Amino acid sequence: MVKTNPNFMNGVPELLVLRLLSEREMYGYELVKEIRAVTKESLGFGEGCIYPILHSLEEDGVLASRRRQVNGRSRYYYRLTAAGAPRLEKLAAEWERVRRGIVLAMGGMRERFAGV
Amino acid sequence: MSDSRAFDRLRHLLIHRGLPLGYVDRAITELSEHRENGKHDAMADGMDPNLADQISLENLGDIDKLAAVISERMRRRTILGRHPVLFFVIAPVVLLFLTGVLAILATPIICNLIHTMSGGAVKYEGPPPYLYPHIRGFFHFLNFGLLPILALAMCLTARKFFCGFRWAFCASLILGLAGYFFFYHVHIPPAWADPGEFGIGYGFGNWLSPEIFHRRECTLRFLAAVTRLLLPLAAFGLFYYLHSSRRLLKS
Repeated sequence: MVKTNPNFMNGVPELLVLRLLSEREMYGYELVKEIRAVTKESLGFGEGCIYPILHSLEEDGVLASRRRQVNGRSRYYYRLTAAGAPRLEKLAAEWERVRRGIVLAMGGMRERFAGV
Repeated sequence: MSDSRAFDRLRHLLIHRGLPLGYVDRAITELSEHRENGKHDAMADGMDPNLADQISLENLGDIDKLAAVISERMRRRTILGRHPVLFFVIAPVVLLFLTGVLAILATPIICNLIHTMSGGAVKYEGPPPYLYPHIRGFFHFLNFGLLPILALAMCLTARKFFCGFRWAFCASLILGLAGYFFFYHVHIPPAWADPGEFGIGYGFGNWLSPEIFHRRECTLRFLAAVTRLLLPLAAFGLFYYLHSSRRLLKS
């Protein structure tokens, strides 16, 4: 049984970023729009916060970036590297474990309070 | 806040926190491109250009918080950044005492070496009188020179690992306080027979000591302690001034 869970919330943005970039390469703004779309705008965050996350993932070797010219505009595009896939799997498994735990806890609480 | 003023502020904050200029440039480029994209999309949806400009900037988030998030991410990449208390609170004191104790242990060895090299046929029984001023000078250096040097080393380390001025100041203050309460002392004997005494003293521990009544000596000790407290802080101040002005000029 894993007792500690340091990535309880810290890993969530990384997980989202890695998950979306595993499908195709994207630039920061596109990624933010995609996060808003897939989460149906349920996550509120300052859009600028995506860049430090992308940069640290790139530093870890999980993402790679390149400057690309599209429609006359130059942008940094990010993609998942080979080292990124295991990291995504690990974060997804961790998140699933946390989610299941919370669902169980919430279910337990509902039952307890239903009896009151 | 206007577009350029917001990015200028962000740039200033990031540089001030010691982030590399290349990284700051890249982050600003990406953020301004992001804002441009947001503005473009908002205008395509029929929004007024001024309002689109304002909204796209607001969507990036609070500039101060953004600077804090970016520098925090950078800081956490290094082991020093992840354990700042260990490296900027505990390590300076350990380093100070370790350096001092090693220097004290080395002093008799160096004295012996100098004595032998200068052709001393007599068995070494303590530092020869001609070395007294050098030993005293060395202990003055240990008491007054080592502290600002270590403080500067800590400041440079904090900058190198993006830990910011807060931890550099913390390390300097800790060194200053260590300097205020403790000092290295040397007692050199007038006669050769006595090997002398080297050690670590504490200036203000024994208030019941009769020496408290020797006002002149107490005043001198107090002034020396205050100087030792201020020297690392002065080193930090100098570093802060040079670092800020140089980096901002460079940028």
